[in-house]
Amino acid sequence: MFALEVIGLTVSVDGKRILKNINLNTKKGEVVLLLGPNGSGKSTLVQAIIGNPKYKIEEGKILYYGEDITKAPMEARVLKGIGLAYQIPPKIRGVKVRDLIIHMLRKRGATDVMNELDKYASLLKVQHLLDREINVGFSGGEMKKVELLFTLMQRPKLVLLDEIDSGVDVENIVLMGKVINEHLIKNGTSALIITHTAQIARHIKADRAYVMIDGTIKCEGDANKIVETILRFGFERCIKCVRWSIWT
Amino acid sequence: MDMREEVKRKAKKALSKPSIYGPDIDLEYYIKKLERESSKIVGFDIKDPRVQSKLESVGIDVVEAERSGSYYQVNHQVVSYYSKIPGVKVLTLEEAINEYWDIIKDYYWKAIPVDKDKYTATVELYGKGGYVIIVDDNVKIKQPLQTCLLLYGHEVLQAPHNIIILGENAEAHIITGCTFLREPTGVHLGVSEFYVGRGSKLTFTMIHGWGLQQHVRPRTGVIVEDEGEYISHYVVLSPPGTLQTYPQVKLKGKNTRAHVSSVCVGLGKSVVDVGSEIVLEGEGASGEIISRSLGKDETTIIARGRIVGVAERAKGHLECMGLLLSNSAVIEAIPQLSAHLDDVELTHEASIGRIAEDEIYYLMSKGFTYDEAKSIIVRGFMSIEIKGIPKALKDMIDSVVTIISSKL
Repeated sequence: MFALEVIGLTVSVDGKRILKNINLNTKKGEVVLLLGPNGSGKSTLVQAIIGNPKYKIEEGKILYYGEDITKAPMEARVLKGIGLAYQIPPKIRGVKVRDLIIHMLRKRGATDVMNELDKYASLLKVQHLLDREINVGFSGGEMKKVELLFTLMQRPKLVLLDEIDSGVDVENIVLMGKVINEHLIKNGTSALIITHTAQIARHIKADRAYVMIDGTIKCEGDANKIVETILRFGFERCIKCVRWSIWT
Repeated sequence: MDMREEVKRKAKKALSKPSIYGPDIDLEYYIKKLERESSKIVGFDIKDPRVQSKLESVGIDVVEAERSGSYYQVNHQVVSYYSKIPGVKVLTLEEAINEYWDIIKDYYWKAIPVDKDKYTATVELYGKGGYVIIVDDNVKIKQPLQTCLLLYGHEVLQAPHNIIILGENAEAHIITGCTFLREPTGVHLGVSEFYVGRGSKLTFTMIHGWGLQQHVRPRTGVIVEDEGEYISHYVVLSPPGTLQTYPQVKLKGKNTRAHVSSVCVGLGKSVVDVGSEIVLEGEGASGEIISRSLGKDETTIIARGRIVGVAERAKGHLECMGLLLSNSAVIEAIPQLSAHLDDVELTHEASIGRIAEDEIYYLMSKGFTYDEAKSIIVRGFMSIEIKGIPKALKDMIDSVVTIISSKL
């Protein structure tokens, strides 16, 4: 059973084609890494999966547990169980983290959320941010941890983490990895984790990995092998790799 | 009463002096109407549920359980007034002048010149009513006092003169709700003079809910003595046809503080010209002006702010933000800082813009619809953190702001 199937997806932003014929999938309960250098189109893919109207799907399909959601509105996808942690979330002035989380969960009919919120906030060490305006004056690491907190509270069935490790210090990467392993990816939750540094990959038990370069998938395989290669040789090796070029 | 004659003489001279800001209103038309109007309001019942829900919309607690006292005025007529608290007087202006002139004479037209413009002059010459609240030394009121000014009927001129006097080490919270019944055409003028004595603290929350057939020109002057604090928050939840106000806060004493904030919504073709000025006169005085303007339809909003620093170690900050919700609305922000000494520290930030699409999409990625996301952003934009006001007032302001943002 696939939680996510991306089939022949071509996506453009402001008339410019960013992704070409992307094929990618995540099985139920599987943790998949999406690696690739900056600007290769990884964020475009997750934004297209979540349904951001700025990202126009020219061709192809997105299936979520077999259901075609290519044209479903963004909030409908989220309510079905897709959760996205933004790479660079915007500031929302005057809106407190706690209030938005409560609002978000009430909308889904959840009532008693305070205990869970306190638990996750304390695991991520972000209690002090709950009564602050969203992302106003947050450090890079704080932003990422709050995004992770939102995602945890959503209890998604498919979670998309976009560069959750970039700009985060080592201790916090370890902490976030632990929280992701123990609390986010469980009970059959699938994950597509984007990273260009592959730092978070050291702390998460990933099953498979894809490598995206220039808006196309160049490689797919065992997560450990690919991560090891990239950490040793960088993405240059991927670009030159003849074996992997069959994917283009 | 030589002083009163002198005041009247000055007022007469200023009767045709326009305000420096805002569209001019032909007051003579309303004054003539006034002379013919009988003093009795017919058909008004404060117990009417429709009246009560209207009052509640501008923050008035009709049950009055959580208020220390109340004052109600409809057009020119004072309906009721009382204080529950010993050491706190709630009076009408006429009563205060007649019975407490010895006190009042030191405050009557001392925070605002009577000849400032034709609106102040009209209040002096043709106005009736207005509340006078006197809080004795060392009296601290926990629950707010409320005052309510209603316009009712047609071609009405309402022109009260309000005075609040806090003695030394006193504390009071006032909430004022101004609104209308039965869609009247009319003018609401209101002079408010506030005096915050040494070591005292006054919080003043004013909520205006008007209709486009009305014109509103409040005139407010505040004087704060040593170690005193003034906090005001003005919410325009629905604008009149034209609104112009520019409260001036004089931080006269040492180490005085003022926080003046406003949230204004412009709708239809309304012209909203709202500003504030803080003059930092006392050593170590600090003041903050925060304004949020939301422009919808074809409204024009002018958001002014001015901080003048003329004392040592004075500090001021001005924050002026506008959000345009339509292509035909105009918001103009005019922040001004004026420093007269080298150890005065004044700063400002101003911005006007639309709702950023990225913010909407971000919220949609958390499961909100487009409209929900927009209203969360608007709601957030209007939220101003006001320190030092009681929780009941904060909750009341929050609920008012929630109602406005859900309607935009």
